[in-house]
Amino acid sequence: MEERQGNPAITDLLLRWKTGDPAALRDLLPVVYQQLRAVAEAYLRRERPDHTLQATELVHELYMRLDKQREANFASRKQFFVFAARLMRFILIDHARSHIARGGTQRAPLHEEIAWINVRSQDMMALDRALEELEALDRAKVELLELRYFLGLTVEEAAQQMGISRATAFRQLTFIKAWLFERLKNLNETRP
Amino acid sequence: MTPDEFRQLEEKFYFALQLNEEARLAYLESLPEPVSREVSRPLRAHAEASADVILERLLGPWRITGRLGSGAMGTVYRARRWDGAFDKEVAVKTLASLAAGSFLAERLSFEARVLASLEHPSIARLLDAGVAADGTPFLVMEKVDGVPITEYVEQFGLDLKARVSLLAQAVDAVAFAHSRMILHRDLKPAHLMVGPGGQLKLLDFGMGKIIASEEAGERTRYLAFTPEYAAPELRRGEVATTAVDVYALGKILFQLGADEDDDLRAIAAKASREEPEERYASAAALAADLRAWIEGRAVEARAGERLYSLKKFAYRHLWPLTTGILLLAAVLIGSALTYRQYRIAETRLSEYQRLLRTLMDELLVAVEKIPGSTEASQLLVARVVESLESLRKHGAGYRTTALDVASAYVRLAEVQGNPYNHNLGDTSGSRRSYQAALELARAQDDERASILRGRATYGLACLSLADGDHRQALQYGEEALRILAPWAPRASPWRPAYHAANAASLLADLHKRENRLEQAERNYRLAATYGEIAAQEPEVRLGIQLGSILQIGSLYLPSQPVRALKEFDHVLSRLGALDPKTRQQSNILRMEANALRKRANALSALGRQANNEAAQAISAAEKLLALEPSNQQARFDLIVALNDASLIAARTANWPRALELVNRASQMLASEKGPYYAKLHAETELYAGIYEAKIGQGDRRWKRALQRIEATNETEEDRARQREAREAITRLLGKP
Repeated sequence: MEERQGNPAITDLLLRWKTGDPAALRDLLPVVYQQLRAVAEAYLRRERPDHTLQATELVHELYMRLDKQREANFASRKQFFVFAARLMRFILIDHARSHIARGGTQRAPLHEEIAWINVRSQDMMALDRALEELEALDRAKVELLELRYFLGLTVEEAAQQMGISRATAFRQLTFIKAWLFERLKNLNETRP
Repeated sequence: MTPDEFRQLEEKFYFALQLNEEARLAYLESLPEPVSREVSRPLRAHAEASADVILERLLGPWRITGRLGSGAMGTVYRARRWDGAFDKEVAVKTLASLAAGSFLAERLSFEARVLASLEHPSIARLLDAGVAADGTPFLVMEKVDGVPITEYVEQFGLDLKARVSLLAQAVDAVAFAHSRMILHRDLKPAHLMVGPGGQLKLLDFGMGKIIASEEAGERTRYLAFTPEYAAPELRRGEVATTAVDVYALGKILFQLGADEDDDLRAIAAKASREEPEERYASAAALAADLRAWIEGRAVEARAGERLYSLKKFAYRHLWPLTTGILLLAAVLIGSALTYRQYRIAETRLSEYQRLLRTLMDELLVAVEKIPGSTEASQLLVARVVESLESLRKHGAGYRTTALDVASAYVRLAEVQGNPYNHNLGDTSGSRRSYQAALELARAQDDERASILRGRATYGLACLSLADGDHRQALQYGEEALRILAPWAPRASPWRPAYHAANAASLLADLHKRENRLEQAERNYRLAATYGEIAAQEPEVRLGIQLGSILQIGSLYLPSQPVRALKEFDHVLSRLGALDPKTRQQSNILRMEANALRKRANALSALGRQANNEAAQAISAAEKLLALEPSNQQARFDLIVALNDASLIAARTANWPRALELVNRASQMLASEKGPYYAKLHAETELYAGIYEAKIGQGDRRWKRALQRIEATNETEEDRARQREAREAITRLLGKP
């Protein structure tokens, strides 16, 4: 399904990359670069000027991480996107964690639909834990959430990658958001 | 939590999310702990999260400035136009749960155009509608500052009259919307807001439709309302009509204290009846009754209450017979059942269809079978006439309507004055109704139209007979038989045969009257044959079979009393074998009273003692009349029974007994109106006078009666009456 709808070049490049052709990733990135760049910009547009993480840096970091992960076994375009989204999540959470360690006050850039998470950077760690918990319960939900909010795909695109209908994706996102909100809010309430 | 439990939580979340607030609460309460808590937490989180997000956004040209509250389907915000094109603060309602709908934008703009046309001082205007960038649909409405009507009346301690006046404003507004073919569908106190100045505003008009039509899934469709105020048909998932709003208004009226006053309680009860057709026909009718109450006039609901309880009574008592009666009703009301399937919501036509359905209801048929029901039928007649007029005015152009109205007219005519039926004695009204039916059915030649014409013509024959116009009755009777005969020789449907049997039996009566015994017997046999064909339904079969036997017996009563006696005994033994419940039906009771009377006559004709039998016949007729004091037919049956018993007593020279009986008959006739009864009265007076003379009380009474009889000399029958009178005087008193 994904192959028929998507760009066959991506799968091909992924296969080459998987078999250890470093050039493949260089060729692969431009294909997804525009999209990743747009994602990063969307994140950062909302940020205050003092935010250190720039759009290009974000993409660069993504590139570096992808390169390190070339042994990963991508069976399809979907897996690549899921992987990229997961990477993005780690980038953002690592970023938040390093800020906390340095006593920073910057907000982690998050998709506007889960922007309520950005109240405190500690929330990012809570988010990470909640997503780990959720993964144990329902892995597909975490993948959907990452595609939508960390990789910045539209609901349609995310639904297509997950092989579900737009309506189902919408419903599931509503549920995950509510579930997350409740988790993180509870955490907030237990703090003095 | 296990993945399985998580999946279940997710499913429950989706289900709960599509319910409105009340339904959702009820659902959550129905869940066991800790499941209920686990589901309610993300639900609450969902509401809060979406509210927080939206606050930072623009909705089209509208800028959110604050939050007003969370409603059933989304959150309500206060907002202003950012470009200043509209100065006032407005209420913006987001319909978060609808965001997944695919054709939402077009649908919303269509509904919004319809709703925006709803300009009324008591209806909050819809100003704009759209879909936000993230797909969340929103509606922009006039912002209403106020509190729900129930809170307002408490806050200000309004008395009952003031409370009802306030609600009447809302009912007027609903009636206005209904006239624009817009339903509210979710009326409840929270949607009836009263401002500080006492100005009432209806909120969320038509929202129910947007929600119901947009939400996916069957469950949602009937859950998108507030259970407490939702009419039963809405809860069953049927198409909503204006009756749904009337129901909710009735419920709100109860909440405002309708129980404090009998009349008001009747109004609220009528508005919120379980059966949509039993409610006020429109919000306007409810408003009219509320005004009547406010102004201290008589309310319609009280009159209807009696009818309603009679109907309830009818249904209760008919329950054991339901199958038979429903079959009969289904056949008699014909297309009323098809109309039921064609109910189209929100059109004026559906209102008329509803009326039609009511008047053609099984009720008129069912009610007639219950002893004491002629009153109920009379109450129904008023409604029937009203509905018919409205149908004739507005129903033109709809294919089946002419015949439906014709059919209703026939039913009406029968209640009004068919002398062969339980009737109200309004013969001229009855004749008009039959003729209206003929007029309407004239244009068509199919089975249904033919049967209606046949029935109406037969009815006119009956009326002519009752008027003593035998020639006209014969003509109508033969015409009826001619119309019905081609359709009669088929077992299914049995209606044409049933009516043909009635027509044949009427012709037989006429021929018998003119002493054409041969023709009479032929028609009775024809009636019996058609009766056999029609005998699909046990009740009908019984009526026709026994009726025919009774008639053939009567035919031979003067010439062959032995044969006649055998027929009457046969009828009585068949009646005796019926189950007690069927035996208590008034048409069966009547047959029994007549059979007893005729048996007494046969015995007497054979020269045997028959006073006891005649007394039995009288008490049977009295029993029937006691059950139906205003049934003209029952009165007449008793008069005939008294008269016959008197003649029987006279035959054995028991003059005091004969006088006593004929006096009773004469007294009853004295209170009747019309020339026919006047002639009969003169006759009973004559016999009473003769019996008085016999026991030595003088000749004054019979002489005066004879003068009266001699005074009318118009028809052949009058002259026969005069001959008989003189013969009786000669025979009994030996005077010329």
